[in-house]
Amino acid sequence: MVRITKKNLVKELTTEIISTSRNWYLLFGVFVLVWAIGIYALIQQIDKGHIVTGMRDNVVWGVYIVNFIFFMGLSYAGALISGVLHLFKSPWRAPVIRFAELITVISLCIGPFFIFFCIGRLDRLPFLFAFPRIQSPITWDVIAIITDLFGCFIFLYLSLIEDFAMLRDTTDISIKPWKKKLYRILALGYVGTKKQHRLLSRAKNVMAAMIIAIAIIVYSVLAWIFGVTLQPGWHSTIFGPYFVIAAVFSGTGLLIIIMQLFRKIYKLEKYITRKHFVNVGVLLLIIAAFYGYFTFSDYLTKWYGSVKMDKILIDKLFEDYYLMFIFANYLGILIPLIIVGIRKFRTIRNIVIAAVIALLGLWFNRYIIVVPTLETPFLPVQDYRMDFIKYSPTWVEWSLTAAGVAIFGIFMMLVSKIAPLVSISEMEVSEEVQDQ
Amino acid sequence: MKKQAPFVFMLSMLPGLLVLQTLDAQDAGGDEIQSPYIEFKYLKNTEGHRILDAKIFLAGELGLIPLEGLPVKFYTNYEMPELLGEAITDKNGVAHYIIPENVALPVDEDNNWWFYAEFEGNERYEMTMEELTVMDVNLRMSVEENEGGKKIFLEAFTVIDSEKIPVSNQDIFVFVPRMFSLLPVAEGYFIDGEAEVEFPDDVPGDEDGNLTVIGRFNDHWQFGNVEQRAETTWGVPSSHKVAESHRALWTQIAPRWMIVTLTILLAGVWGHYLFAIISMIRINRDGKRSE
Repeated sequence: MVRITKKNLVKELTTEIISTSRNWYLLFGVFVLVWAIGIYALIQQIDKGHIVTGMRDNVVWGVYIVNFIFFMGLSYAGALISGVLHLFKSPWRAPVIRFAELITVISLCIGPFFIFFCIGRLDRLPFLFAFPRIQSPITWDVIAIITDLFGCFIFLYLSLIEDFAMLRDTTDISIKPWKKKLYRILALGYVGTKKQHRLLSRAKNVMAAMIIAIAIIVYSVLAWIFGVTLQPGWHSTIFGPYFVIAAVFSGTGLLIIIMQLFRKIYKLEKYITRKHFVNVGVLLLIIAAFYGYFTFSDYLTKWYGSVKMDKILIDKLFEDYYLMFIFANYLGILIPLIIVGIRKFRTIRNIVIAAVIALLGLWFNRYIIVVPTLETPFLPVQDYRMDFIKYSPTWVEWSLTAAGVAIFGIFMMLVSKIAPLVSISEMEVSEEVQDQ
Repeated sequence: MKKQAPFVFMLSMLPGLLVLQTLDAQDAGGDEIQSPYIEFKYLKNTEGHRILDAKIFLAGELGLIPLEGLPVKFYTNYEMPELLGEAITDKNGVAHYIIPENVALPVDEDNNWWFYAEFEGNERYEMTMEELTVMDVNLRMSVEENEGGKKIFLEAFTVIDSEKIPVSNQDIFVFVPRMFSLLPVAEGYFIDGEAEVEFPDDVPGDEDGNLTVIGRFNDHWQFGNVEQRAETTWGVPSSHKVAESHRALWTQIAPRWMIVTLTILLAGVWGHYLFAIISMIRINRDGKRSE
């Protein structure tokens, strides 16, 4: 086995911090372009109102809410995965854990913006804080998201302290003076004394445990916004755990995709190997099995109950939404199961394909949870126009959706200019473990 | 790279295909001409106004969807239809036309009026029409309360060739208006043009007991809808004030258990955050000391 020295680690994992490649500019430019289109769409929406979206009186939630749930799910999944990997000290976690932490915080910053896009009277948003009613699941969600955001920031920051200290002290690479100054501030005077190490380690353990718990609670709260609503398809007791499992499923998928993207762009093949893809892939496999079970259980009980509106909803899913339904609830689960489940299919490329399918499947699963239900209300629809009965997202909504993905990429790339995407300190520990 | 191209192509096509399915939802049925239904009714109200109501709607799995903004033409005279007037359907899908008092309506050999409502159709909806025949009837109503109870006296007659003909052997109903529709509360029977109906004692009114009482031929096969209304104080006074509940899901103050649970949860979580922040401060202090 080739021994990786600390000097090598610092050099190879900080290439984007010390210089900027052409690929970086190219990809960043693409993301900024997509983001700019999203901003233009947003200006259109602010100027002309929500009429430029596909949302109307009846279907009041559309792609924005789908994106909100999706991004929040990614965030909670990132928190769960990074928390579990940290607490259980998985020996292979080192090159992966930072990605999970970043997914958590970045998705958590992006998700709530889709709520702002969805709200018709944004001027009334402060009322939610000025006159909160804690009986309202919306208030629970606001409290939960803020709490989660703080917790995840703290956890991410704690895990970065050692790397910041290393970058502050290193002489092996040339870092710009302003960045050195920044690292000096961000490293909090960490020099690796026994006491500091103990304090940091304990704080990280506590926060890792906390963010696991918070992720479960917060995503359950989000699920309860649907679960406590008397609507066909939503009023379900298993929505809490179902959403949590679904979130981890999508987050694991995204983690694999991000690992592959940055592995290629930042040339991290030496650190992120097939072993890591297989390990995260196996996690995807296990979660896929659970997710499939929950999905089946949810739809089976609704179908068997034969409540009139549930039946209409399920008929609608198999008729108007059959492509999405089949993809989200059959292919999106079975393909990852088959690819990762059969040993000879477990190549990096195949696992990434499975992850992409899982991620897309989850997005469409969210879509068919939100939209068809609102198209199937208990009370009769009060407007005859087809756009009041059916929902179709408009270019404005798609642009803002793409902008959400782009801003995720922009944040990831900006973070990579300040902090190593593969944790140097974790890699060091991991190398020690291997040596022992 | 070449080897991966088909996979990349397939993966990028997949979301496109699915997104396409979301895009055509609002256009579903957009090009297809739909067949609406029409419900046509005649009403003669307390003031003696003759009103034609044509409701146009679509019937689907979600129930009846009223169609707003459609022009409906109303005709009379079966032998040689004459246009009475036109009305546009409102948000409930109802085109409401009041026949002017000065219009003399022709009658057929059975002494019936013939009415015809037609929506001519447009690029989205097919043409639909309905007709009805009614015989003009005069309804009078008086209310009286005495020791024997609350009584409603109804008189009904038709006029044929200037001759007053009392209505006989026909049912009439007494209604009170409720939130969504008229509630039948009593029933009477006409003999020689007169009916006497006893009004029940247990119908809720407003807080002073005010109650509108309606004597009505309701969707009658011969007379259509003909009604007379009277204001009474026969209702049971009822208070619509919601009983104040101190702590509930719908009150200003949340249930105590909810506040306690949330406080414990938040205190627990933020307490741990505080611990992490204090640890960071101590790390910083220790660093300064080491310098």
